Amino acid sequence: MAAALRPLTRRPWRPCWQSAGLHSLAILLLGVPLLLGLTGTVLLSLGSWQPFINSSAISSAASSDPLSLWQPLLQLPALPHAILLSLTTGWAATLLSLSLTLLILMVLRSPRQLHWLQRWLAPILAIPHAAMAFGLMALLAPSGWLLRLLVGGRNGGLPPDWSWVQGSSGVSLILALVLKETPFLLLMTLSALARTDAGKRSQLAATLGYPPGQALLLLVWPALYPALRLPLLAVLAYGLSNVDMAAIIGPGNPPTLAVLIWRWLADADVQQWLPASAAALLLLAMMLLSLLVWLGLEQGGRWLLLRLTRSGWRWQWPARWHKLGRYSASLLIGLLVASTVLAVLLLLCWSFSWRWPYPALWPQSWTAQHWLSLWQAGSVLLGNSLLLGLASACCGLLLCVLWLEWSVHQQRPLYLGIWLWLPLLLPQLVYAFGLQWLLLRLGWDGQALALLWAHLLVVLPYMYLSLADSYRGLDPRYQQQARLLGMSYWQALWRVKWPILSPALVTALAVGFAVSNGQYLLTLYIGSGRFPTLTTEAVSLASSWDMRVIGVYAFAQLSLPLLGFALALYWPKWRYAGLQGMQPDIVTARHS
Amino acid sequence: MTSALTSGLQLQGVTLSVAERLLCLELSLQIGGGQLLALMGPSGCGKSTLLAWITGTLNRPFNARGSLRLGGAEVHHLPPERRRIGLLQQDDLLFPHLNVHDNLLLAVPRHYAQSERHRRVGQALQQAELADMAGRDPLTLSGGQRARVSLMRTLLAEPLALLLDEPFNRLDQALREQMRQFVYGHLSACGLPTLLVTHDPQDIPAGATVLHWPAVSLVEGAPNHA
Repeated sequence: MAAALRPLTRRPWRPCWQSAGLHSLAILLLGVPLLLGLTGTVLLSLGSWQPFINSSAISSAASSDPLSLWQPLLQLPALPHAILLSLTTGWAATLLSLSLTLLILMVLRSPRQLHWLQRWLAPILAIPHAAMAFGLMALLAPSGWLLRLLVGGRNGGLPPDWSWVQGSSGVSLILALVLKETPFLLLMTLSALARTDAGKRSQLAATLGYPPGQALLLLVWPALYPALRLPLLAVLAYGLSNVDMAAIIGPGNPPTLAVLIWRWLADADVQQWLPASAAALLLLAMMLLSLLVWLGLEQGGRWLLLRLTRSGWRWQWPARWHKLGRYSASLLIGLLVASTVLAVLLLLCWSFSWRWPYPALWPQSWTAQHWLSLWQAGSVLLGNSLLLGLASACCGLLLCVLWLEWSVHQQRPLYLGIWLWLPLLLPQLVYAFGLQWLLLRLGWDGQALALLWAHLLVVLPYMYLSLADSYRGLDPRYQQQARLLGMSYWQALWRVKWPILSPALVTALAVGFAVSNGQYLLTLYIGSGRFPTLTTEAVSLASSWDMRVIGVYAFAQLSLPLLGFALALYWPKWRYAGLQGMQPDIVTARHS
Repeated sequence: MTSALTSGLQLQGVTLSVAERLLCLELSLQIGGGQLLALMGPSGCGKSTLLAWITGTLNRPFNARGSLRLGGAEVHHLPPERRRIGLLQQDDLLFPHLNVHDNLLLAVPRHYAQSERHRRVGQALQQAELADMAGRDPLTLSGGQRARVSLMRTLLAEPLALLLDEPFNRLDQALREQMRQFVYGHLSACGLPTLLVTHDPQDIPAGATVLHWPAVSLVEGAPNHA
């Protein structure tokens, strides 16, 4: 028997080689720039290389004690407040988004409702952070539309003396983050739900006498959570370290730590780069600490859930409470959607308004002048945004398909996990800035290729996330049948597998395009300001406060990705008209 | 006998294993043109693995050894698309991005002129009594219609041998008998060597040779002739 089996154990080389190749590619593409960027930031913060900083005082101080360079930073009076602000806004936004997601899921359970939700989430998700922040400003600021509606001219024709938007508490920033991150978490949860046997679990729980909400928490959540851990941590990382939202709607003075760093880096004085890089490391430390706390909370939560499950206690909510919960959740969803839609509409109104003084709910006179000036001055911005978005989406799709198609042939699924998520888990400021500095030293700063690569760092993970389930989930027998009908491997891919997957592939392109369009820090630093896009221009308007110009830029910024998603949605309807199996509605319905 | 040999499907000394588990050892069998061999056995015993090996689509965790001859030529080293073996499965696997006509057209070999390819598709649709369904979305057909299109697609690719992997499993009871008649009626006209894998004795047409899978794999080295 053993002798008969011996010649069977062959072919060990190809899979090993392929797997190693794929991993090296992932590390080269994603890991190396991150590590280089991180190294650059560390080196800069220690003052060990300073080609631009000619101050001999710093050099001598650095040579005696590198840590002395941290002194000015640590003695900064605004620092503790900035750290506290970053931590509170980041954590509060993450926890609130999570609770909101859970609440919405507890209340909306029918597949029809979930399907409806999924349809409306994608366009909300496509709205760039900066545009969302501007829109919320237009809605919530003291002279914003909401207060015009509520207070009107009762305050003597003046805006009320409220400063909670951009106030020191950061409430408005938390709100903006929640509005932007809840749809993301919801969408991640919904796609995770489709992969679990959630329906069966809740049914089982119901037969055991558990009300639906409790069933979700005790039986479904433990199966969902592993798929949500990394998205949640990415949300936390963004909350702690984002600049584009915090600079627009966050507290002004003192700002969050990330904005503080951003301001230092924008300073003409290169010496400010030292405290900036040190502060960036501080940000990284905050993220790592938050990660540890999160893992601790996770353990605590698991223990608590286990206790609850073991106790066998059923929450017998009175029907009245249940109704109340349903109404309040519906209200919350309504508020979420309404404020997003209002924010977008207000941006549009502002962009066409000529005169729109305070208590008026409607512009008094209209003009297309601002749009015309964008058309004249902004065609470069538009071109950069489009080209960069298209290039990174196409490269991203190529790489994602390469990874997924190759990993299909692996015995064990390819584990790209940590390399994919690292760019989302590390604060962007930390590596973007260090990478810019290294590129500057090498003379490669402001190169289109470097910028494209940097965009791919963040574009790839999101594209991979959007594509992986459909790609892996396709029945392999389609490809097998194609081969047996006489097609070669490539023909089967080209004529059968990829066309069947094309709605998912086009959606992934739209995701990549939207993510690339929304990038602020990477475009600014890696592009060395030589590739201004709609996003960099919009964020730089944060301090100008001409809402009409802001409206034009922010609306232009958000219409590009929305257009991408609209095209992705309608493409299969046009290309595969009359073929039910190819319509995205059917595909999502089948999953949920 | 010689003509049956040269036109038939011939397996010799086929050994399949996954990890440490042996699925079949030194299996040999031979199916002549127009003959049908039914292989019976419980699910999970390795019948589908054998079919995957014959079609050349066996995946990595499995190990295989042995020789496969089709029409007198060795084909086990060829990629699936050059073996000319058709496979009919329990799901119709019609491609959702093509309508019925295009699903069939895809299968007709390319060496024919385009007009001839279309003519063959039309003829096949007529044989399946689906002539007015050419432009339809496969998803809108009934289960029986889809199964018929699937068989026609397989035959249009002009295979030299046919494998049936529990082909009637997904159909409901009433439809099953109809479909059996349709499939076996067509097959007897084609004269192809056919290997049927099933666990339902009713699937097996009259006059077929029946093999029971465990018996096959346990008789070491003993060739089974059909």
